[in-house]
Amino acid sequence: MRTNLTIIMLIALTGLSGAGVLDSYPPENAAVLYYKCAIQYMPSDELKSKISDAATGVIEIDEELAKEINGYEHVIKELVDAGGIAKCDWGIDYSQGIATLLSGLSDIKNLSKLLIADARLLCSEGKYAEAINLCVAAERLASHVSDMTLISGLVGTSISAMGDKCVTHILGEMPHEAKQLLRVKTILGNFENRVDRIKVGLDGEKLLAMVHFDPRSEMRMTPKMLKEFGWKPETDAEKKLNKILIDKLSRADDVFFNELTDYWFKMIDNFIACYDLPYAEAYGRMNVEIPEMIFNDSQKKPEATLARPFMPALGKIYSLSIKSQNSLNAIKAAVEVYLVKAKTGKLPGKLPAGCAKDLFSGKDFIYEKTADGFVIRCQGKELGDDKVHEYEFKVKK
Amino acid sequence: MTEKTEIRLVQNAVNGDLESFGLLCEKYYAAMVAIACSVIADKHLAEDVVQTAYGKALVGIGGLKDKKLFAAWLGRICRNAAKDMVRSRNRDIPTEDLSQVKAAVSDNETSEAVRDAIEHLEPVERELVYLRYFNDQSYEQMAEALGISKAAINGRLKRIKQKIGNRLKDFAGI
Amino acid sequence: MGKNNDETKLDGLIHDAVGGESRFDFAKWKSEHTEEIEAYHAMNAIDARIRSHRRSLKVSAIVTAAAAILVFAFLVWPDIGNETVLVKPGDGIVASSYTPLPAHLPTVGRLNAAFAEGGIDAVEKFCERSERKSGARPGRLTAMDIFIEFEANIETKKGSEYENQSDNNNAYSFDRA
Repeated sequence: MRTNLTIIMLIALTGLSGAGVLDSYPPENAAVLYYKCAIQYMPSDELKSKISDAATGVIEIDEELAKEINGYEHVIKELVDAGGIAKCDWGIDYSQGIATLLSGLSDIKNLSKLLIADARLLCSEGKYAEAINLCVAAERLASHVSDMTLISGLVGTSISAMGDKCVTHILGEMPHEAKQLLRVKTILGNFENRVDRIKVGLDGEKLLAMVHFDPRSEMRMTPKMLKEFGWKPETDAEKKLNKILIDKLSRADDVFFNELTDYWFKMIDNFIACYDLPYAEAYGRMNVEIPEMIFNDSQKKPEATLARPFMPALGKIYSLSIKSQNSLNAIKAAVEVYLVKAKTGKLPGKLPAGCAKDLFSGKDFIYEKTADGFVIRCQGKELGDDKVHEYEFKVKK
Repeated sequence: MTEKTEIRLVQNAVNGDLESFGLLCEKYYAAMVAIACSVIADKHLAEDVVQTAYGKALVGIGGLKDKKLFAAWLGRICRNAAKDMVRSRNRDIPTEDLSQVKAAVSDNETSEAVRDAIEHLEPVERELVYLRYFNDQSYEQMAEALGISKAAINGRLKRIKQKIGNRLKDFAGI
Repeated sequence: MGKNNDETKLDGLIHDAVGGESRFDFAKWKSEHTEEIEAYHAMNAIDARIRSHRRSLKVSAIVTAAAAILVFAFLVWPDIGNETVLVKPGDGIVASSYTPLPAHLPTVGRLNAAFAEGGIDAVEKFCERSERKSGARPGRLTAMDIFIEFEANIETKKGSEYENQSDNNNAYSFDRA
């Protein structure tokens, strides 16, 4: 039953309250408010789908939907309050390693859609500053949900992407006054670096794996668990190593588990080190060199063989994190353009100096005026999709 | 304090010696306040941030792998704590003008223009300025806190000062 | 010469604008941060490996309380709760008691796999499927509804205790002695 999650949340809330967290409002822990919001936000499937479409700009918000969204004003207010709290501890017990259940992610995503849909509604009513505030709350939710796992960081990234589209839309609709734009600039300047979110998740993967790589743990890796995680030896070398592997796992071989931990840590550190490299170089290392190295090792070393089924799609994740931060950089650059328009009455001929850079190339974005406004285009390609991203910004005539 | 002494102090702190942690905190206090100040633009709030960040650092010091990177690690904690503080304050303060805080303590137009120029720097550049001028940190101290070379600091500061100078000229209409 | 003068002047201006002084009083800080100091000493009292692991997993008193509550809730929730049986065989190694949760539930590993397969869209689809499979939300839910269901879950659990254990043994016979 769906309400079971509600029960857990309620009990968690009661428990947290007992621990003295709910002594005052807002609480010290933002998660308490988010859990509370998830309990209060229970739209029908139909309404949920409409709100989702409204948030992504697929449908216009009609009167009926506006009424439904306004009915959740109390939830939205608490989400904004939660966004203002520095600490967010979801109380998830990660001692189950990668078998840890993350059942709340779906609820968080739904709450973020409610925020963004309301931001679009406020924008349509001409309440631009309030609309931006809700986008800030969504970004904070994205930051808060990005706990210690890569997957929660990715959910945060997808919330941020939705928020970016909404901010872009608001910027196109609002009157371009310097005071309002400076406010938006300050707000965007305070957004956390989204790439760092993913780096935290990488460290988290180390710790999750440790739960299974500890020979003294009751959650230690066993041959059957390996099978459950989808491991199948394919090459002859793997089949040969598999026997050794099964033996070492069955005996909970201390030395082997230590080697396994060391190997895993070394590989994750290799990936983390790539984040300091320019995009193209990092992409090459993450998507080709390191995976090849792991594959080659896995044909010789049982610890590398075991690392493979555990390894998340780190190259893909890297590209997504850069794309997310780049989208924010493009919006920051666009705000500078709008500021020039606010001051001079017309769009600038070129991108103002000192704008945020295109992370795919490490250079400035390309700026081009269009019939509807302007575009900010990357100079570098996103290598995974083999695509040059461009971001459109509108200017009302 | 030599590098060797500092590493020993960090190791002692990791092993449970609170006084060693205190010595390290004292050594880097001014630098950390400067880092926080570069984000939050208010000395008193920056000091609060650093005090809180030290608490986080104490609880997390066991996770510090490379003992040589203590100062850079501590700086990151302070920077993040300051950003958190800004975010939580954004709720209450209209963010269009965080420099209001500074305006309140200034009655000097030139200082105001300098602060405005600093406000327009990139966050990394702003941090460098605060580190250098907040408490007259030497290049050596800055290098330790940022984990970069003295030569790099010198070069960057020169460029930053040029930027500030240009903006001041614009301000003065030169 | 002029350039040097300009630079010195600029140094002075910047100093005037942002300069300040700060001193750290460690004794005062200690008196104001007793909780952190207690946590620090407590962590130092346990084995280094466990200590680093636990700290990194952010196990604070509150998290532990919440986790305990969640685990308790899982145990009274027949849909997803899985029994953890600790068995200590003769050689001193604790047998692995890992039992997989039902396949539709979103664990870290499964969501990672979904991402590898189809990106963030696949992750969202997994979560949505999981939500649907776990049952639709009622349009309205009162506190009374919650407690009635909560009570019912406990009763169901009591009634089918042996049945469930037996099912678990058949389905997940992982290394149990």
